[in-house]
Amino acid sequence: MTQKILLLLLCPFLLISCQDELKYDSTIRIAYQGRVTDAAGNPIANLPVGVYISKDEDANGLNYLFAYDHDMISYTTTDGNGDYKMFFPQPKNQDNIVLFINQDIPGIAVNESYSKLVITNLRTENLTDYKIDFGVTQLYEVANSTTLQIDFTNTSGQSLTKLNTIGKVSESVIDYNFNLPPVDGVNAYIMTNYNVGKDQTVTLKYQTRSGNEAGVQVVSNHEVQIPIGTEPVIYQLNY
Amino acid sequence: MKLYTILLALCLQFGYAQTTDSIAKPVDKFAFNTFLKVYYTFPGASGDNVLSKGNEGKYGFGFEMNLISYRKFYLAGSYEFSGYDVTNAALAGNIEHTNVNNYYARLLYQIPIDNRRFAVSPLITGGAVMIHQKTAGKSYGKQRGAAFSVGTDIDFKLTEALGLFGRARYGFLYPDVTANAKDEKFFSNLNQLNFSLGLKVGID
Repeated sequence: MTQKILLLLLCPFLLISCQDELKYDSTIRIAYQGRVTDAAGNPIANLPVGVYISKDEDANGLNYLFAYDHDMISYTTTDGNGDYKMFFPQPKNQDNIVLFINQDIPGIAVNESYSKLVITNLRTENLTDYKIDFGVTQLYEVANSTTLQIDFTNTSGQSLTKLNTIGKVSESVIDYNFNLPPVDGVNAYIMTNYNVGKDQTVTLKYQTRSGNEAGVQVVSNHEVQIPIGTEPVIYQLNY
Repeated sequence: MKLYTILLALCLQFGYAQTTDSIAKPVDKFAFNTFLKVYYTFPGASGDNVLSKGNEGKYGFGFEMNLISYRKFYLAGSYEFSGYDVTNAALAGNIEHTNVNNYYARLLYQIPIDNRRFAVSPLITGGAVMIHQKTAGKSYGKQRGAAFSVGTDIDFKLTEALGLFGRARYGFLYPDVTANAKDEKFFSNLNQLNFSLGLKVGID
């Protein structure tokens, strides 16, 4: 009798843990591949590259680091040509799939000389023949950097849902499906301070969301160019 | 308790069944032969496939129950477990273990030598395979498919009802896996090379 009561008490917890546990379809193997070079196009060898999958019913899938269940489901290092290729079983109930390039992966050292990149919000709809070829990803040498600060002013009453900085950015998070609305309607984490390469133009992509009279959410995507010289830049973004 | 009773009955059957040779004299008719082989396996793999390139064999075991014989042919039902550790996360996924479960029918042709103390027995198997990838208690899914193999047993008689045997078996595994066209065979066409040592209990 005591055992039955204990089992009944445990049931809700068991159901919660099942709900948030990542599940995989082992009969489908997905491939991610690409090449990493420096800004001059020279291949960078021995960089850590990994695929991170997360699941969390209660949080925005884009905030992957705080997910209830997560796996670095596949990882490797770039070869002498800067090439990488990884396979992993297809997740069935994930909230987010992320590609890490030159990020912390257990047992593989980050190359601190180069910038770091996270490509987030990867989806199974992005696959072609069970594969994504990311092509050439360019990292830059962070020693030659200055700073970019973005100040935000809300002038329209809309909410800022996503922001990507594209260019020579030392720690960049790129939303692979930027034009789609945010996952579960929750805004992505917005960074305001960046280390960026000198003498370049950074592309700032941002997404805003507003509700109309019928309560329908309207998502708008915007893009601005920010010239970077040799000195720190403060950019005022009004949205 | 019921299981113990059945096991005891089987042991008694093996113990009391007496014949002059542990390794059979061929009889030109079908016969029921219930001898058991239990064994430890050293799992391996070969070829250009994920089992070979992304995993390393650690341990395994198996058992098979011979059911019937005809002349020098012996038919058995078998189960074999092969445990591998993933050694290449890029190919096999960042998962700790790949467990290969073979369920098959085994047909063996026994060639007695050395006055029936030894026998060399080529064999073929056909059946199903289930591959399960796991890390601790977490499952990363199962693959199922067909499996075939060829191999050889070498039997050595210890007593009338007890013997040792070694087995080499080369398996062709075809789990139902989908991947991009260029890489699909890498995951769905596996080759297993297992070596086993074990006990043979009963009279054949």
